[in-house]
Amino acid sequence: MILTAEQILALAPDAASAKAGSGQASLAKWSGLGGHAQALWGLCQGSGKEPYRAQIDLAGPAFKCNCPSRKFPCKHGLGLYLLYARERAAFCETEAPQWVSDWLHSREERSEKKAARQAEAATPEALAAREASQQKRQEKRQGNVEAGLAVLDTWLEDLARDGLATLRGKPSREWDAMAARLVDCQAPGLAGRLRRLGLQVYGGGGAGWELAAARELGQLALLRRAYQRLAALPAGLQHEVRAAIGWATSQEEVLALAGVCDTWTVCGNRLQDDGRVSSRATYLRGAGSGRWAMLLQFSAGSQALPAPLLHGASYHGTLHFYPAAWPLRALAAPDFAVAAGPVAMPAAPDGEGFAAPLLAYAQALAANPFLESCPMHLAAVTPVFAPGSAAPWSLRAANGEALALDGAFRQAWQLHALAGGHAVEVFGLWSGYSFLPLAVSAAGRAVSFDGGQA
Amino acid sequence: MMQLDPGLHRALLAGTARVPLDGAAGAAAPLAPLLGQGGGSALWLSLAAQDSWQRAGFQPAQAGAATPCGPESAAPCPRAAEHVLDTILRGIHPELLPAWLAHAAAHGMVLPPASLAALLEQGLHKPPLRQLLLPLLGVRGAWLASQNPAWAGRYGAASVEAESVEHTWQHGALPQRVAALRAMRASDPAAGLAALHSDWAQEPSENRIALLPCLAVGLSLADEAFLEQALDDRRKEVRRAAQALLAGLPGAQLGERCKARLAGILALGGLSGRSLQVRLPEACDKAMQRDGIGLQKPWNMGEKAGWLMDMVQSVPPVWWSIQWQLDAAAVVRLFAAQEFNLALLTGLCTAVGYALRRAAPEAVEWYRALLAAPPVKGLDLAGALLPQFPHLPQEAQQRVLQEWLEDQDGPGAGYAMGWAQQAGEGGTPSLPPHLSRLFLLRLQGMLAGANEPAYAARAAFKSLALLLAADDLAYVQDGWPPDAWEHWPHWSGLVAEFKETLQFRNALQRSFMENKE
Repeated sequence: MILTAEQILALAPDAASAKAGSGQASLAKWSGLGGHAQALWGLCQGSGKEPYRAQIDLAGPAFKCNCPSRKFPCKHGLGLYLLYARERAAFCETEAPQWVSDWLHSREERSEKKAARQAEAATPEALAAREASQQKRQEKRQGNVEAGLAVLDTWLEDLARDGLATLRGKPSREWDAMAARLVDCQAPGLAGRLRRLGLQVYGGGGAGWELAAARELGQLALLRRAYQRLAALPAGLQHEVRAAIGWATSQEEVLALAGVCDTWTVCGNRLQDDGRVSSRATYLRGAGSGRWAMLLQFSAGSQALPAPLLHGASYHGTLHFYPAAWPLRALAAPDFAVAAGPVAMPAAPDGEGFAAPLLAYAQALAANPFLESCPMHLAAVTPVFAPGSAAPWSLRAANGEALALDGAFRQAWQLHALAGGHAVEVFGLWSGYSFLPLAVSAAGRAVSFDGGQA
Repeated sequence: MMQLDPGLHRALLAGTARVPLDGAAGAAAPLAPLLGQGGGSALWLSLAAQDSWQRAGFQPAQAGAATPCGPESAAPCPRAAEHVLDTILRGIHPELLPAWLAHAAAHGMVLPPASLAALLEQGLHKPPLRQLLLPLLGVRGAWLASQNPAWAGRYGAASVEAESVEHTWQHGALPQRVAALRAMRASDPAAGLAALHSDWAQEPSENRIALLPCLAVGLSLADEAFLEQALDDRRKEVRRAAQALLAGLPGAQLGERCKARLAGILALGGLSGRSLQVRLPEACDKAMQRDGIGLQKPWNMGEKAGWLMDMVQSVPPVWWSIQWQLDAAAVVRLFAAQEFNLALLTGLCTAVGYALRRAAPEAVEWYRALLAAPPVKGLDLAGALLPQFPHLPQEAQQRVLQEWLEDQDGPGAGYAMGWAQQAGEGGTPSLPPHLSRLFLLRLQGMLAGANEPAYAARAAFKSLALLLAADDLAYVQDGWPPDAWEHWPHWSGLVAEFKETLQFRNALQRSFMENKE
């Protein structure tokens, strides 16, 4: 599949790169343009003496250019792709020059080597050795986590005795100290949740902040209790609890599990940024399996996130799900690539109201009580604005039932403008009390929201 | 949000040490026996259980239906144009937003729904942008704006109704009253005058100072009697405004009085009858003072020369031609050769400005004659004339620009660039191809003249990227130094940005031509 100009610009790491990329998309700047089914290439005259060699592996798409830019993909790669989208005739279909075929070759080699390494690591001896050392590390860590959770118990008990009303009067340092303690005890998952909650408690928060805090503290206590009884829990839930406390499952382990091969449509993206790490969660839905999947991308500090999957596009390939009671997070196998043609979304369940999606949510919650939010596709809802009420925005189904929109959603007016008071198709996340829209499609237009961060 | 039993809520806030915990309070029957256990964590576990219970059994509320928006009557803009707008709103070439809106208006299209919210929000604090948005709202935009309390006041239909003009005039603050008076004058000058007249005696002087200049809209001899009266106002600023308005009103008595005075002190003389003799007035009597003579005391000429300037500016330029049977250029030459040329030409300049603003047909000839005047020491004619340039008719502007640009070594090119800088800031339409070519040559000349771009060059490239014709960019490709030019590293960024902006404008224009959805 060849991407549209819009989709290509969406690959840019930031707005400046998108602008610079469009500037490079003119024939005057390029020479030696060429392409075949697998790749595109061209020479771009920059400020230096030698032109830059830009090339694109269409399957990824993956970019390479020998310019010194640290942006990825750089403006030359974007420009080359944009130029191809606009002036396809300028690219003559030829054999790839040496430098292109070398790169394609090295990419193949690398993926082969990776496969070989994986095969090597899968020999019985290597596995046994790794198992043994892992066992040792795990035991040590378990001890650490136990100690940390004991401290957390005391802290939660104190908090219950003193109540939340006096909380904001105390310095936030104490709160952060508890989070830091949990990091030291190798329970980074709990530490992260505690720190996020601290930001909510100390960083403003209007009426009802104590209810949100109570929910989260309740979840922490529940997690702690579940960990105590870990062995008695079903296998899937054990993974959920361990993941929530901070045990990471390595990518190799996930990829070693059986995957689900399907055609996946990108339903929406959610960006989050806690100041240290920004993340993008991409929600996908399998056309054949009807399953939801989520791919997570991370970047630290001011680094740009890796290129996103394109909203509305379809990808074909295998996804390996992280072991869980209600599997959602997944990893893409190497065969995961842009699908040839557009694929129709699986039809949303019939029925006028929200009975079916809410039932699906309740089932998911029954499998995993620690579920924070759940992807939800609403086939025909109308945004409704009721000024003056606590939650002024809601999505209304044909039978009059309504789901409140999340207070953090900043693009409600845009959603309203797109719908025009008529029913539209909305994708988003359901938290149990409110809905956070991530994408809407109205009158043939698909528009994505970035999860409330306008 | 989670519903909580009041007792449990109290325990949560005040702490279980003060409020004894009943974990099962408010819980559903099947849940109740499980709650209240867990020792020190009982509070949190009860909360977690109630939370899970409520989430799993969530019952949606009922809501009233939304008022649907009616069908759009105007054409939607093509998808390509929508994409360009989206790019602009994402911060790429935000300066081209007015150009996009102007194109949409020219094609009779309305704003795409996806961008409405962002644009309405932007226009909230930018009145000029709001004026561009209003005609493009369409049915969907009006429907949307009417529901948002912050937008309804700014984009509502009320602001243009005559009734509300009347209301604003009666009750508004001074800036709103000024706008209301201008609106009244534009639709019915006599009604505007009557409204101003009826309250005039009660208006405080600040209001009189601000309101009187509004009569410039739709000014005619019908306003003369009122303005003559204002010449006797207590405040100098009011008298000055009245004098300026009367001076720009052909056939007004003030002009006639000044003509009579000038006829007494000026005479064509010399051997050939082609020199001007001036006998400065001895004194400035009451009647002269009433006509604004001597009101402004210019620093760069004597007092009596100042009186001469004030008289000259109150006379329509065409009078000199009729009086002396000379064309504009000859009168300007005559003035320039005179001892009091500073006073004569400055006054004439102001008079030509008045003529331009009332679109007098002869004004263009006078403007160009003044531009061509020989240099006069201490007088910056161009500086005085350039602000009047936008009042010239379109084709006269282009003719003057062409002359400036074709003028090889004179100051013309500088004037043209100065104009470009001002025009680039407003939403001026594209220049015609021949002027675009001339401007491009000037830009390319800058490359030849300097090793690296100066501040002025950067500004010129930036503003001309917004003004040059972008329909067909073939002409922009030629005329640049060869690739091997040693100073390219300093210039290439600026030139590339210039070309990129033109290309973006080209794409913007073409995007409205594409009709495929």
